[in-house]
This record gives sequence, C-alpha cells and structure tokens, in this order.
Amino acid sequence: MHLAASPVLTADDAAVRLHEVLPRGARVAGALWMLPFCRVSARGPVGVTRVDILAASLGDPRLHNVRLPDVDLMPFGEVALPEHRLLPRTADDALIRARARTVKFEAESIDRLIHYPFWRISIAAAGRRSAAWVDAVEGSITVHDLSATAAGPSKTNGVALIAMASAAMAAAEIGLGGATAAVTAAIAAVGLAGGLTLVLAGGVRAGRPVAPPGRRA
Amino acid sequence: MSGPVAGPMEARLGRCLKCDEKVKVKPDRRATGCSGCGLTLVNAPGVEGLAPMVIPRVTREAAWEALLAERGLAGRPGGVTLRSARLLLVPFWRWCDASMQSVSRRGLVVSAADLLSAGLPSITRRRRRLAGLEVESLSRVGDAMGRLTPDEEAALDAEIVDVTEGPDGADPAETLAAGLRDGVGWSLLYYPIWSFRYLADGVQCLHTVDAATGHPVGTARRVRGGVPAMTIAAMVLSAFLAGRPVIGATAALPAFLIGVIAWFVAVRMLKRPR
Repeated sequence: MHLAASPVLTADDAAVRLHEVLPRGARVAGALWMLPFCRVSARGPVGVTRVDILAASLGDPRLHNVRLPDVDLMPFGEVALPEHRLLPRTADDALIRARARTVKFEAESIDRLIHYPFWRISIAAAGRRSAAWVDAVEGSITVHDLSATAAGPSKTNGVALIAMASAAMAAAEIGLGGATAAVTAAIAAVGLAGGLTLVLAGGVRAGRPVAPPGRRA
Repeated sequence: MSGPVAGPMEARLGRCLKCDEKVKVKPDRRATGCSGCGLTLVNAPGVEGLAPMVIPRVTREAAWEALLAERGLAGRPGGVTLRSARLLLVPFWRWCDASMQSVSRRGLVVSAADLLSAGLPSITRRRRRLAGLEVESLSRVGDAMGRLTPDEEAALDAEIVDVTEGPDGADPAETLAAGLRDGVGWSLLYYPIWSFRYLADGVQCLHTVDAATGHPVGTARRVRGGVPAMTIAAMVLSAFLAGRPVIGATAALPAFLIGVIAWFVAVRMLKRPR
C-alpha cells in the first residue's frame, strides 16, 4: 500500500525550528521533498514495534532511521501537494533490512511505502554553505550539522587584534615625546580597543530569530 | 527513473553508458566489469544503464587517519568516537565532447546528487572546483579511473547514492535518457567518497574524504588562516609606516581600517568550501 502525508509547515516555519543553531546573518531557502520510507514491523530490544526506514540513498545516514510522527496518512494519489520533488523508492528489501539492523532491529515484514514531506533548508552564512532537513508536518525531526559557534577565524577577535595593534603603534609614535605621555596614550589605546571589542561582540550572538527566506536574519 | 526489475538472483542485461556494450549483472552485485571498455560499472538501483566508476584506492583506516590529521584530532583517541564509516559511490555528470577530448585540458563535471547536509558541497558550473576532490582529473580517461578485479567487484561494499540532480537544473531522468549523441552530451559516472560520522569533544560531526586520493573534502577541511593573518599584519604595518611621516600617529586610523577590511575579506574566503 502506498501512502503519503500532507505537508503542514511552510519553509519559514521549518527554518524557525533551526533558529537556535543558525549563524547570525544566515540566508535560508527551502525546497519541499517527498522522501520514501518503508514502514517495517521489526523485533527490537523491547519487542515488536514499527520502524520507518528511508527507502532511498541520499548520502546522509541520519535520515535512514527516523520515527515518523503519527499523522493522518492518505493514499498517495489523494494528497494535495504544493511544488515538490518526489524521490522514488530505490532501496530494495535487503537494504531496508540492513538499515534496520544498524539500529538493532530485525525486520519481520515490510508493510507499506510512505512518502513523507521534508523541507530541505539551504543555509548560506559568512561565505559558508550547509543544509538541513526538517520534517514538514510537525517540525519535530531536524537533521543538520550546524553548531552554535561558527568554524574558522572569528571576525570579532580579528578586529580586536587589529585595533590593539594599531593603537599600540599610535601610542609608540606619541610616546617618542615622553614616557608619561606614552603610557597614557597606551592605556587610552587599549581602552579604545577594548571598548570597540565589546561593541562588536555585543552584535555577534548565536540564536537570532530567523528572518523569512531571502532576507538577512 | 526506474530500471528493469529482475528476480532475486536473475541477472539483468544492462548497457554500459561509456561504450554501449551489453553487460550482464546480478541484482545483488554493486559493480561489474565491462567487456567492451574494461571499466568497472555501477549497478545503481533506479538507473537505466550501467555507469562507470572511479575505483576507491584508499582504505577506510587511511582515510580516517587523514581526516583526524586534518581536523587536528590525531593523538586524541579518547576524545574521538567513530560512529560509522561508509563508502559512498556519489554520482556526477561529465560533459563529453569527442571532438574536444583532451588528456590535459580540464573538463566540466557537476554533481548529480546534493550531499551538502552530509558535508560534501556540490560542484556546479559556477563552482567547478572543490578543494580535496579530484573527480574531474581522475575521470578524464579510463586509465585514471582504474579497474576492480572480479573478486574486488564481488566484495565491494558501498552505498550507491541516488541521482537526484540534473546538470544545470535539468531533469536527471531526461538527461540520462538523452545520453550521448555523436559523442556529445552529459555522461553519468560514480566517484568513491568515504563518509565518517563521529563524536569529537561531544560535538557530532559528519565529514567526507576522497576515497581515491585520501584528501579530506569540503567541510572536513580545516580553515587555514596563518598566511592571510601574516599578510594582513604586513598590510597594517605598511599602511602605518607609509602614513606616519605625513600625519604622524593618526596614521593608525587608516591602517586600522585597511586591516579590518582585509580581515573581513579573508574570513569570507577562508570559510568558503573551495
């Protein structure tokens, strides 16, 4: 039996689910995919239960075994869908069983094929691109590789270092006229650099609310 | 985009997408050799025809060591937990033009699947190079692609990633059906990538390594800031020394502004997956 779930969340709603880990100034764009899952009756550590196994190969192992939310499933042809990309089932029974085994379940029967809507969110921030998956029904399943701190050199630290270096050079130049003036100038320069750092650091924080797609957060 | 359905152990007759030779392959085999061109072909579910592949040359252990070294995690066995390591056969489209084929000239290869969420950025017409990935150079000629022995073909344990992207936004099924006309068109090929999922200092990471060369790819590559930082320091000092004879200590201000602009540009370039 081939069933499907109807998407409820918009791309904006899905992006909001990621707001705690999105970098500041991130641009996001969403595309709706209908991913194929096989609902499997499987024997696991606590007895027989149902497991939903991805029936395609997208290269991301975190999508292989998900617990799809309990939602109303309808025959595939009866579901009204907005613009979307439909992925056909490409995984055979052997691969489905192998994926179930990776989470310590032994598949007893492969019951049905379910096409479930997911938003694929493309994220561009500070010249770096990444992607995340968010289920389009409840937003309870999120798959991403984002973290609260951006990898790589920090703009704030770099600006602070350059400010202190410039201030130190100015202080040294002024200091040629007298030791006291040099010390005073150096203290003022360091204070200026520190204040600049605090001003800039105040604007750099993870967890900013996500703006609608296409606009900076 | 569905291929012919075969019985459990019934061999199916496929067509080599490189030389058009008919090849028999069993459904449970991921790879087989072509008797026409000699290349190793991938038996991809849902793909009509058998596309050639670049063979993996790097073991899982060597790829893992290379990734640890790149991320600065080597020598910290307690802080790193490997969750899973999988060999992926990732599809790519290569533009073929028999009249312009060259061993030395760089050709056009674009991604046929989007693995950005798995740490492998896509190659597009605008972004043709990805640091660490040698798919273009190793798929230029058959000798560079390599060949698996029959035993290696039987033992190949790899996940074949689905073709979900067409070149320039085209439908992948239509592109595959169009094939080559008089030696011109888009040709499908598969490239091996090691995908590692691990915990490092409590942070879950998903990174990829080129399985033909052993180089970490995409988001796995560490951002290298030493040379840009030295360059920016030299620019700031030079700006100060140039302005000092004219405006004295105030030269620190333009030096600071030049340094900040250069630093922002450097950060943007360093964080981009080249």
